[in-house]
Amino acid sequence: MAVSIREDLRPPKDVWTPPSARLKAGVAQREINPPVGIRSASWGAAKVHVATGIHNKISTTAMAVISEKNFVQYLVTVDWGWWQGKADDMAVRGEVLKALGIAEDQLQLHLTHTHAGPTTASDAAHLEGGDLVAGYHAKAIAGIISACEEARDKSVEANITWGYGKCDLAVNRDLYCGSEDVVGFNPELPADDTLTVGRVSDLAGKTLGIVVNYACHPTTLAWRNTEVSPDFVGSARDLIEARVKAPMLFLQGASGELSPRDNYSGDVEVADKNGRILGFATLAVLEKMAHPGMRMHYLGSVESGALLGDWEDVAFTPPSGVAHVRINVDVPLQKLPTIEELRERWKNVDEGARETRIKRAMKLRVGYVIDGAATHPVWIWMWGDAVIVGQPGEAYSYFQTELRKRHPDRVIFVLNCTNGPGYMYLPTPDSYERHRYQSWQTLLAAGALEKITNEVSAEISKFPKNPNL
Amino acid sequence: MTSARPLVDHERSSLARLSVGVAQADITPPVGISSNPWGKSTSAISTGVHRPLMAVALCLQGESDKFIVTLDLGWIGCHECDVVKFRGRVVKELGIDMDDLLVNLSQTHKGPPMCVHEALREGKELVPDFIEKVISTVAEICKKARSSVALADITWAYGKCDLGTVRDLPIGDTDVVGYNPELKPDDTVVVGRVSELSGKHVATLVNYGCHPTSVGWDSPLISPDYIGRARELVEDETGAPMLFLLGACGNVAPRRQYSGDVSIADSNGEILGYSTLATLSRMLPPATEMAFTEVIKSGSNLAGWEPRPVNPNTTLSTTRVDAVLKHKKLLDENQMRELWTTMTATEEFLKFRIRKQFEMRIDYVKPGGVVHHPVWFWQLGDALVIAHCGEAYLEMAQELRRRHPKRVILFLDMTNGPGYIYVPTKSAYERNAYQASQTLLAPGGFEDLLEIIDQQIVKLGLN
Repeated sequence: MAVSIREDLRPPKDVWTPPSARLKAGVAQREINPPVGIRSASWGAAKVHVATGIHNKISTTAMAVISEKNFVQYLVTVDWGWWQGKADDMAVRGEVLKALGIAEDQLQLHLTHTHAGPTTASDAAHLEGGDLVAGYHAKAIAGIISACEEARDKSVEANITWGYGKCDLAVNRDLYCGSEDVVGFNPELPADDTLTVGRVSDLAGKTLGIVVNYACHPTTLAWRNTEVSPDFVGSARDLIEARVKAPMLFLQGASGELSPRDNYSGDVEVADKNGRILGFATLAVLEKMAHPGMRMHYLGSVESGALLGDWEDVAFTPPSGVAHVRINVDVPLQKLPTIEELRERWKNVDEGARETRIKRAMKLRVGYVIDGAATHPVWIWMWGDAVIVGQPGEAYSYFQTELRKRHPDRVIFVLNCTNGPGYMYLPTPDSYERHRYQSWQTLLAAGALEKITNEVSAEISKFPKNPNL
Repeated sequence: MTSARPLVDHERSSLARLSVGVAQADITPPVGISSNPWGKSTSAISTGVHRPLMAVALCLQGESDKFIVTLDLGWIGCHECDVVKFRGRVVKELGIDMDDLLVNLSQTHKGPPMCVHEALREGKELVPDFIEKVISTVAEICKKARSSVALADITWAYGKCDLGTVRDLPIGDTDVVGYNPELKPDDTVVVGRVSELSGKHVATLVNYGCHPTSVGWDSPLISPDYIGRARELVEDETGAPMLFLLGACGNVAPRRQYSGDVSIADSNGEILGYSTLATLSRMLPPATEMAFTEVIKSGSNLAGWEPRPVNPNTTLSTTRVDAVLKHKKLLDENQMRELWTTMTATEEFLKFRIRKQFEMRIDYVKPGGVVHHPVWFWQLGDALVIAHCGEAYLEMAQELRRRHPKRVILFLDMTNGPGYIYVPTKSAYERNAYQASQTLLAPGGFEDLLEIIDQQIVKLGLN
């Protein structure tokens, strides 16, 4: 029906453009469930160190983006916990790089950080359930490679819509408790609730994949749980994939001090419940998004009972700019204790556990601390209006809130537990003052987080900006 | 384990334990009824139903029975059709006082009029019977809700929903009513989960401020707008009726609106529905709060927390305050005719418009240049329901919640009457916004009302 439109009445800004990208992209997923009985030992308080079952599927999801001259970038997520050292990391990532025939900087291999996953250690064969690890890792590597190849081979011209939303799953977990801080729910401190979502669609509008970036430790399931699980990521993914009929790629954000409120459980239903909070919040963000490849134009001012401002969806071509940089940030180190000093520190811990702790502490340093100095690697990729920042540490949420605050004209995905080396916390200065767990797990001194943030921010500023946002 | 404990070792939940009953009924009118109130529509006749229109009643039993009713209908704006013929009759049938009933209209813009005097267009012949059906259905479901009353636990929580956007869009020296991408709306959604003592979920209350204007003049369908799909999602997941309670929405609407395509309403409804489900998913079991248990030695020292049973607040109290607010200079009939004749299609419409102005003033405009704007305060355990008939700017609910962070506040527009007017901020008057021209209130009315409500909350001693 024709309506009378006052063409003369238009707002100064009469186009609203959602953050987006037009890229050649593909998404693929593989299940990589481990065998029951495999070593799964993330918790010091656990009595059982092998998996007695599978709560929800362990999977890997890959997104490939192909830009000029067939340059392929792979953003890959795996429902695993964390690397203990560079050898473990490269035993997997190195094989993937080799099989795909790509340079290291073309891959961001991310772990979702579940604390109920199979071990990632490549030197656990002698431990209970360790005999199943090598075979399983070989299967998982094949799954990752296969997902990457499919994502690459199925890549098509795609409209990607980026957006921020909110999710209340995470709480702050730095809890003042007497003379020390313990790791647990602190109802008095706020938590970053930012939920970052990307929707990849082909040019016909069909959804090819969903990218979800949220900062919250997957620690719902803890020492009382004995099943392998992706934690809350599992039911969130089930909910979203059932709705959109496409794979969801979950990326753990800067969650150094963030976890679910309902935490450390032995009941997998609690993990499912937490996942529903994230899943429903993500579905709400997806519904708010503009249709793929569409933006809004001011149609005109319409005389009805009141003078109405009418907008309409119109097709546009999203930005197709791709840029990428890897930086190695010189980071300050704490005074590193010798093996003897560590033995003295943990003299009250039983000998087996003490030697395990010492071995792990030393594994963290290999390939990272060189001649008494360290550089922290960060991969920064621009895909249209989005920037994907991946680094191996467990940064506090300051990292993401600060980057997003400084660059409000972009949608920024911030990833912990990505590539390596540098598998350690990046805490805020007050964490050192409070002697929090995160400050004694890390090799880094206070100031490292801020230095990395500043250097990443400076790199983002160098990327071309979209004047329409 | 160690004996260390944090200074704050529990997180208080917002709860209520009350005697509650709920009932729901379909009030979808017959196709063909006048159901397109938009000024730009060429025909008001409905040709189909997008989704059913629903009525939901909640009965709260205390010293006297109290009812909250929500209807998927637009507005009344007429003292005779609201107070006399509708609510007056319902309260009589229920044997309760007028102030024991809150009727919240969802304000869908795709339903039939609830005022017989407004039924002036095509399909108007079906309106009187429809209104009669709604009135009898409301009385019926209230009785049904009363007969099903049982002790129930209510868990209250704030969540976040991004459906609403600010709809005051500056163009030149005025504002038009449309999406403004540059202003930040309030994203608060308030959710109440009502559970029987067995734990069974029996009702969900959702309070959110956003004009149901997704569907515009080009659709000939009857529709509850975004509330329909939101309700379907929530009810499918919970197996319990959802009461939608429209919040402060004077300057809030969906980004995508005025559409001829009802799928836009469904998409908007999914934003609210999923946000509500996320909020429900985060709730603890009924009648519990999170409590610190112990420090556990693991790789690091961990704090254990678990839900523990608590005794919910059983308070059910209600009060009404008539806020005295200054009104604008009121037009007489001749001035209205002079102003509106050229912009009103027929003499019949002009007469309706003038009549409505006088209806709005009944029992509202008082001597001394003031109105008495009624506001109802219902305390339901740890939550406070604040209801009025106006369409307040979002800043009203936002500011009240900021000032009273320890109390979950449900703020309801479009509830009861009189006071069928916008409640805009001073700046809306300065910008000549539509809402400022529609209201009877003088500039400053919003700010005065805010202070009166705030003082009443303090007076109730709820902090």
